[in-house]
Amino acid sequence: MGRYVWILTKKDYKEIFTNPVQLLIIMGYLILFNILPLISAVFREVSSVEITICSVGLSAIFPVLNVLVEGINKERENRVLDLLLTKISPLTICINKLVTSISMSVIFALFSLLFQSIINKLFFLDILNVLYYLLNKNSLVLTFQIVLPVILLISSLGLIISIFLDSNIRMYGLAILLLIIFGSIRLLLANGINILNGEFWWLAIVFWLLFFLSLFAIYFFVDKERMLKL
Amino acid sequence: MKEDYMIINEIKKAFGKKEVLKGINLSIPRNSIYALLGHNGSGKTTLIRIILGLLNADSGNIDVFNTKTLNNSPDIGVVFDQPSLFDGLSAIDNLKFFSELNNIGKKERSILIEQELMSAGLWDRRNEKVKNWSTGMRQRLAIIRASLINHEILILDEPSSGLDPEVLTWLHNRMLEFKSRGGTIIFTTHNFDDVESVSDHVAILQDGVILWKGKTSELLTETQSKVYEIVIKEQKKISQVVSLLESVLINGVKIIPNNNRVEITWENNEPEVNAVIDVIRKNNIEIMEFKEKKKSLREVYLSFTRGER
Repeated sequence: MGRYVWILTKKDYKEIFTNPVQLLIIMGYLILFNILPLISAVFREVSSVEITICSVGLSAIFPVLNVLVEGINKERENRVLDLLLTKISPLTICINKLVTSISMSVIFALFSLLFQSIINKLFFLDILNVLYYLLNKNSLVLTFQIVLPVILLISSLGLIISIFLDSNIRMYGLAILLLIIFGSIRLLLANGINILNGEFWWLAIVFWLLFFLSLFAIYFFVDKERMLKL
Repeated sequence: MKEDYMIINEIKKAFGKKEVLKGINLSIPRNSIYALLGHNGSGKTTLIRIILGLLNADSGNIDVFNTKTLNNSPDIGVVFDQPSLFDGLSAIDNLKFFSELNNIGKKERSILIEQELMSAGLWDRRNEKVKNWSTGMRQRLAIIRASLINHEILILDEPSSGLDPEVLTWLHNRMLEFKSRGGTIIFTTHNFDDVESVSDHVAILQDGVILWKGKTSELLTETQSKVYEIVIKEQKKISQVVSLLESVLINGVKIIPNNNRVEITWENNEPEVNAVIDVIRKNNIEIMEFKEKKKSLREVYLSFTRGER
């Protein structure tokens, strides 16, 4: 299975990075969500870290939309999924899509983080260095507590949405998912629960559990007919 | 007699209340080209999907002999009615991807891909993205991809749809070449030219039922010898000819007059050719022509699907 996932993931990357239109969309998306906070310096002064995380988070969601939702839809339309499923199990294809989406999310998040730290260095010297802040707050713990499980959860739920929902309501499903996840984080922050200080282990456990639950759902409920939407 | 490669037993499939396959039984001989002939909605594609393991049958089973099971087997090449290609990749990248999936080594892969693209006349456009290609070119690439390695079996779903005569000839040659290498092909079609040119076995499907199955040559010969046409000189005597024929021929014979011609079809009995000629001559009616009427494959097919047989 590992070999097939590797071949499929290489192909996914090639498909995205040899398409100039796709590249333009990616660049536009990344620039938009990373430069947006610059437009209002006043807004940014409220909390540089929150805005940075918001930018990084939004950048990392792009692959979920692009690889999982759009990608699966395109492969279904071109009947490539039919062909792949004659050789490869649905689970292999699901894992391939998750690997492509998650790895791309991590690349985009890192790119966005770098971009944000440069912006901070250039324009907001007196406020705060984001990279310094994250390192100081033990970024590894933060990554495993919040960033990684949230990206994994969004990716796996995104995959479930793209497989189970019809194309005309798929985007609504995804919008609701993002609203629930980011709304919950925003609510926690608004109620003084600082999820960034590494003290709220229960939240990390909830995110990880939900992620594994969604993986089980994929493992047990996704078959070839479901994958092909027959 | 050829050994069977695959036996399909009592396959049934329904989508909701609609029964698409109503108990299909087929034996696919090894090293044969088996055509599934039927019009749209007859159940051909559903049967192909079940054979490929993309759909689960409600009941029945498929036995594949002396090979791995078809489901998840790498020994199978497939071409669907719409060529399944990655639109965003070039022709060469599409072939590289699929050959890598089929465990073809890097060196061998490059040589094979070059040979195949050359033979199909696609080498000059190897680096173009396939989304800009015509249907015929895409279909050629899909067929190359499916037969790139020596699969045991090739399954083609409507491979000739949308192809011009030149590409169709290329496809037929390709299919025959695959068979000559020892492969077995199952393909669905509603193109009679495909059936006559390449298939050695055929099954006619309608509404999820097999109306006829057997050797393609038998399909033509079994139905050919029982229809005769008489052309007489004087058209005004045609009603007399019909009455004479009705008086001498036994039941189960269809007599259809048309201008100065009469078509006689023996549905179950052996043709009584001498009796027909004698009775007409005895009544001094001049026969211009008396011939066995050859039915085309199209006519044979239509006679089955219209319930005339």
